[in-house]
Amino acid sequence: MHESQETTILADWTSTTEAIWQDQRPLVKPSALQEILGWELKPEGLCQGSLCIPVPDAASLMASDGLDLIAAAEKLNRPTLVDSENQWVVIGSPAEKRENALVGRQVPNVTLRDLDGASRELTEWSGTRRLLVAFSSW
Amino acid sequence: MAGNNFTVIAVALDENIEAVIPLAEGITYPVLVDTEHQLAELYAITNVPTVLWIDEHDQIVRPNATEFGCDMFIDFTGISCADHMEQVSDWILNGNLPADASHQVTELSEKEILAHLHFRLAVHAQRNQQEETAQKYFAQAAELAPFDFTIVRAAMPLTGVDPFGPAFFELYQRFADAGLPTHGIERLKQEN
Repeated sequence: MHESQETTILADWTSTTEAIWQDQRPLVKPSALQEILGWELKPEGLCQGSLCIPVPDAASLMASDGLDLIAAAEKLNRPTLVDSENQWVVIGSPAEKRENALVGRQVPNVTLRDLDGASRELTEWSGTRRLLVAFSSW
Repeated sequence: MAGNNFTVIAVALDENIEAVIPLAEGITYPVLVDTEHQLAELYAITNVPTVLWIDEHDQIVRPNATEFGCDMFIDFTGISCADHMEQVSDWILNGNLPADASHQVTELSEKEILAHLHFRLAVHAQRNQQEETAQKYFAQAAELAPFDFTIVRAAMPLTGVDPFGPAFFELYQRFADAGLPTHGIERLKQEN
């Protein structure tokens, strides 16, 4: 039995959860997946609201000490990178989400901050033609 | 063009809101900050300023293109803001899109995707005062995506390098030597 360690996950947002690290892979409570990625592991697969991705080998996502977060992210076509020394995990955007933007030309949902630190989304301006100007301080 | 159901939304590709506040002074349109470094990854944006046109149905009608708000950098880039503003007017008033609007943005490479992940770890390390770890991940990110300014140049101020100094000009030279690679509409011209 390994000890659980506080683990930080950088995905669409940043969250922390207790994870057991085994062979550089974080194992988390299945119930934590919702808070980490906004998806749930259900008998029918990985689900976000009413949308479910069937996972025929759901057992493969589970280890004795918890849900294999990296395997779950891979099922969702999301690239991952771990720093097992610091217990950090970064989970990138799903390939389909970028394809929807680049090929489907659909504005992807990205949570941004306004200057007061409040969460904002580009779809707040639906119904209006927009020039999205990416700039920077650098 | 106010009153034409049109707005500019500026998104800073910055990790710190504080760095953006002075730049937003006096600006009347919305200014947002991509603190989690996701916009560049999702839209395959590799430099600033980059402009996308989005219609009222949330469709990207003209993808990533380098455009400047004024003629300040025209000698450097060869891009005229007047042309762009004229095109924007034509879109807003008449619904016309320029020919380059149909450009198909190319997908990120595996390395570029990994570079974004390394960059995010670097920023996280830095937020946690782990300078050495941050440096390591910034360097790996830059190696994976050597011509992505949202990674290589964005890392400069975060690692104590002047993003307007020699390091930037060296980066730009390498980028020019590599043929000005971009995923979006090619707007920069090679010097002859």
